[in-house]
Amino acid sequence: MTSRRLAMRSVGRIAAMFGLAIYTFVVCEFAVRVLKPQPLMPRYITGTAWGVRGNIPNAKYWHSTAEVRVEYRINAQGMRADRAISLSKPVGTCRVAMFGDSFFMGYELDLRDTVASQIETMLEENGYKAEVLNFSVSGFGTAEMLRTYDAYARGFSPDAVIFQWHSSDLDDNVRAGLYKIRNDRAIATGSSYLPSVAIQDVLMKLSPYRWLSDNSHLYSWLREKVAVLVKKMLVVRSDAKAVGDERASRPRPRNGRGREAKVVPHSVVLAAELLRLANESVIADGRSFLVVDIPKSRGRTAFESDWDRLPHSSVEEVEVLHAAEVFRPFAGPDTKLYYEEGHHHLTPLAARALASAVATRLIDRGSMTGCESKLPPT
Amino acid sequence: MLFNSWIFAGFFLLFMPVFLFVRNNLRLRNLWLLLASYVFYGWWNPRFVTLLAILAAVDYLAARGVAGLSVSRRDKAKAAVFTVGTTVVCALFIGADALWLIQITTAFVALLLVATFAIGRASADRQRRFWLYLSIGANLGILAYFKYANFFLASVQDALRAVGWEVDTFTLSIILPIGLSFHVFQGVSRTVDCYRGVVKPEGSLTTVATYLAFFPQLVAGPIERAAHLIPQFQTVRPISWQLFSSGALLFVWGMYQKVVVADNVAPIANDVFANASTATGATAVAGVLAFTLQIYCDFCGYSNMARGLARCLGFDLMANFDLPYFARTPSEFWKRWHISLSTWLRDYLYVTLGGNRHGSRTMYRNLMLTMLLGGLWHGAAWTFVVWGAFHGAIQVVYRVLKVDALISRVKFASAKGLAIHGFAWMSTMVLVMIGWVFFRATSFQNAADIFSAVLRFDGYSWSVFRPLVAFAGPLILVEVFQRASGRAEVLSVGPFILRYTATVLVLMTIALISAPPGQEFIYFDF
Repeated sequence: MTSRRLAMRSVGRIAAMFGLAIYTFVVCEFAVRVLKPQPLMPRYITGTAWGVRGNIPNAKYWHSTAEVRVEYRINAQGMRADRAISLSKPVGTCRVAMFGDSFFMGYELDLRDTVASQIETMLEENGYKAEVLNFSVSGFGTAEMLRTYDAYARGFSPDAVIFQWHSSDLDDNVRAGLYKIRNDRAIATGSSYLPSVAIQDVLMKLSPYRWLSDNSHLYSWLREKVAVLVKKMLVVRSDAKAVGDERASRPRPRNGRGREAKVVPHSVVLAAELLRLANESVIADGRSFLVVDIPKSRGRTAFESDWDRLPHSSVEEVEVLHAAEVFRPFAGPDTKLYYEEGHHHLTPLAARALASAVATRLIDRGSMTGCESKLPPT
Repeated sequence: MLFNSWIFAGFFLLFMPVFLFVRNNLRLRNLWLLLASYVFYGWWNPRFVTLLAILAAVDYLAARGVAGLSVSRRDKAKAAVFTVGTTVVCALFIGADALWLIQITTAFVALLLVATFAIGRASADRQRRFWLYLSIGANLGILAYFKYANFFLASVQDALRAVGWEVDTFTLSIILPIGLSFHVFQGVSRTVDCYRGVVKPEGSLTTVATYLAFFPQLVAGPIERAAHLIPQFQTVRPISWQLFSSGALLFVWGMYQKVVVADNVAPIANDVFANASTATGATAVAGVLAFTLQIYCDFCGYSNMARGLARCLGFDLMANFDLPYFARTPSEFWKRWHISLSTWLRDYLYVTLGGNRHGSRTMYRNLMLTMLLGGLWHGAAWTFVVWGAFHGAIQVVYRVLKVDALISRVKFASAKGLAIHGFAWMSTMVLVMIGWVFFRATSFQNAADIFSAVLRFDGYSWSVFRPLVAFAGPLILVEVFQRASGRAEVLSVGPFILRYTATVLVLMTIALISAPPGQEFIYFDF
C-alpha cells in the first residue's frame, strides 16, 4: 500500500471519528433536551487581582430556564449593573455595598428586579439618594465576600455593608481555604481561591465553548454534575487541611458504639468567626454592617436556615435580618417565592419583599443619614 | 453489593485486571473468582460467607457420594479445612461474634464428619441415598431455618389460637441471607443430577465452591445447572472484544430495566399498596400495573446484568426471561418467566412427584403441589402460598379446557386469529396481574382492598397513568420489536449506527432519569 493511500486512510479514520463525536454530541444533546431539559445558566467568572473570583467585566450573557429568560450585564468594575460606578462617592449620596452569591447577584431575575436594584429604588422612593453597589458573585461564600470587601469594595466608601448568608456558605468557606481558625478566631491564611478559573479563562476565549455554555443542555447538565463532584472533593481536601486548626484537630468524642458523637463542625465555627471578623472590619471603618440570612426553600410554605447552628458567642454582635421571617407573610401554596425549575433562586416577589425589609432596616438604623434627597418621598 | 452501585463499579475495576491476568491458569482463575465471589457476598454481611462455605463442602462431598465414588479422608479433610478456614477469615471482619461463628462452624464440621463416617459404614447402594439425604437435608434445613422458621412458628401460633389456646407471640431473631433460595436450589440440583447420573461429580472443591458462589448470579440467579456451568469452570474461557462488548451491552440494558423502569415505577406501586384502603379504582389499577412492570424489570434487569457480567468474563449463563408478558396462557407464561426456576421445579419436583406419567388427576395434583411450593419458595408468607396456588389452579383449568392446544391450532395471521390470540393474551395478563396482587400484598386484607378498589371503576384520568406510560412506553416498544424480530438482545441488533445510537440513548437515559440509588432487587429477599 502506498504511503499516499495510508495517509488517505488515516485521514478518513480521523474524519470518521470526528463525525462520530459530533453525532454522539447531537444524540446526547437530543436526549437531555427531551428527557431532562436543563436550565441554561452559564457563569461568566474570572479571577480578580485580590485573589478571588469576580464577574467578567463588561460581560453580557443570558440565562434561560423553563420559567425565565434573563439578560446579565456586568459593568467595567465587575458588578451586575448597567452603569459604571466611580470610585469616589458623589456628594450627598449614600452607598450600600452588597456581597453575596447568586441570590444577591440576582440569578433568574431581571436587573430591575434584583434585591440590589429594588433596595436602591425603595431608598429613592423614601427620599434617600443612594447607590447600591452589587459586588456579588455566584458561588461566593463569606470568606470571598470578606476578602472582596477588604481588598476592593472598601475603596468605594460604602456607608452600609450587607453580607448575604446562606447554608451553602458553610462548605464554601472551608473550600476556599482563605481563612482558618487559630485561637478561636478566623485569620487570613490563603492568598487566593480561584477554582478552575485558569481553565475557564482559556475556555471563555473560545467561541465554540461560549456557544456550548450558552446553548447546550448537555453541557449544562455535565457542568452541574462535575461541579457537584468537584465541590465534594474540595470539601474533603479542605477538611483534611483543616486538621491543623485548633478546633478541628481536637479529638472528637465517641459515643458508645464507636461512632463520632456530634460536635460543632469546623465549617460552622469558621462561618461564624468570619461573620464576626467582617462585622468588626466594617464597623472599624465606621460603616454599618447587616447580614441577610437567605433560607433554603422546603416547598412553597416552608423555609429552613442553618443560622441557628452558628455559635451564639461569635455572632451575637452581628445584626441579622432573617429573610424567612420576611417571606412567611407572603408564603402560600399558590405563591412562588423561589423559582422551581431552574436553580431555585428568588422570584421578583421575594426579592421585592426582601429589599423592602432591608431598606426599612437601613433607614431605621440610620445608615442613610446624610443622604436625604431634597425631593419629598414618593 | 448492588450491580448498579459505585461500590460494585470499584469492585469490578479491581477484580477485572487480575482476572484477565490469571484467566489462562484454571486453578488461579477459579480461586480468584471464588475469592471475589465471597467478597461480593460478604460485603453485605461477612458472617454468611461461612454458610456458603459449609454448603459448598457438603455438596462437594455429597456429589461424590451420590455418584457412588469413594469419599476419601483427603476429600473430607479438604472440605473441613476449607470450611473452617473460610470461617476464620470471615471472623476477622465481624468482630464481636467471631468466636461464636468459629465454634458453631467447627461443631457443624464435626457433625458432618460424623455423618460421613456413619454413611461410610452403610451398604454401597444405601450410601448413595444417604449422601443424597445429607445434601438435601443440609441445604433445605438451612433454608428452612433461615427463611421459614418464623413463618412456621407464627402459623403454629395462629393455628393454636384458632382452636382456642392462648399462646404468647414468639419469634426468632433471624436475618435471612440474601439469595439463599437460589444458592440452595443450585446446590441441590447438582447433587440430584449426580445421583441421577445426569452429570459426573467432576471438579475440585474450588470449582464446586465457585460454581455455587459465582458472583454474577450468586444472589438472584439464574439458578444454573452443573451440566451447563461446571464445564465452563474447567476450561479457559475465550474472551474477545465482541464477547465483552455484547456482555457490556446486555449489562447496560439490564441496568436500564432496573434503574429507569423498575425503580421509577416502584414508588407508584408502593404508594398504592400502602394506602390500598383509600385507593380509587384508577390508582389501584395503576398500582397493580406498576408492580407488574416493577417485578419484571427488576428481576429481568438483574438477570440481564448477571448474564452480561458473566459474558464479559467469558462465561455463559442461561436466559431467565423470554418476553413473559407476551404469553397467551399461564403455562406459556411459566415457560417464559424465571425460566431457571420453572425448569428447576419441573425437573426436580414435578417430575419427581410423577409428572404427567400417572394420569390426569395425578398430573393436576403434581402441578398444584409444584406451584404451591414454588409460591412458598418466593417468600415465607401465606400470600405467596396463595399466589402459587392461584397459578397452579389456573394452569389446571387451562389444561382441563385444553386452551394451549386450542390456541396453538389458531393461525395468527388472520383477523379471527388475531382476535383469539389477543383475547388469550389479555386474559392471561389479567390473571397474571391478579396473581401479582397476592404476591405484592402485605396481607390478605391488603389484597382484598386492592381488588375492591379496582372494582370501583372510579378516578380514571390520563394523569394517573402518564408516569407509567412515560417510563414503560419505550420498554414496551422494544419488547414488541424483540417479539416481532426474535432478537433478544436489542442493543446488538442492526447496522452499527442504529446500535450505536440505541446504546448512547440508553446510557443517557440511565444517566438522566434513574431513580435515586440504593433500591435493592426484589428477588434478593427470596
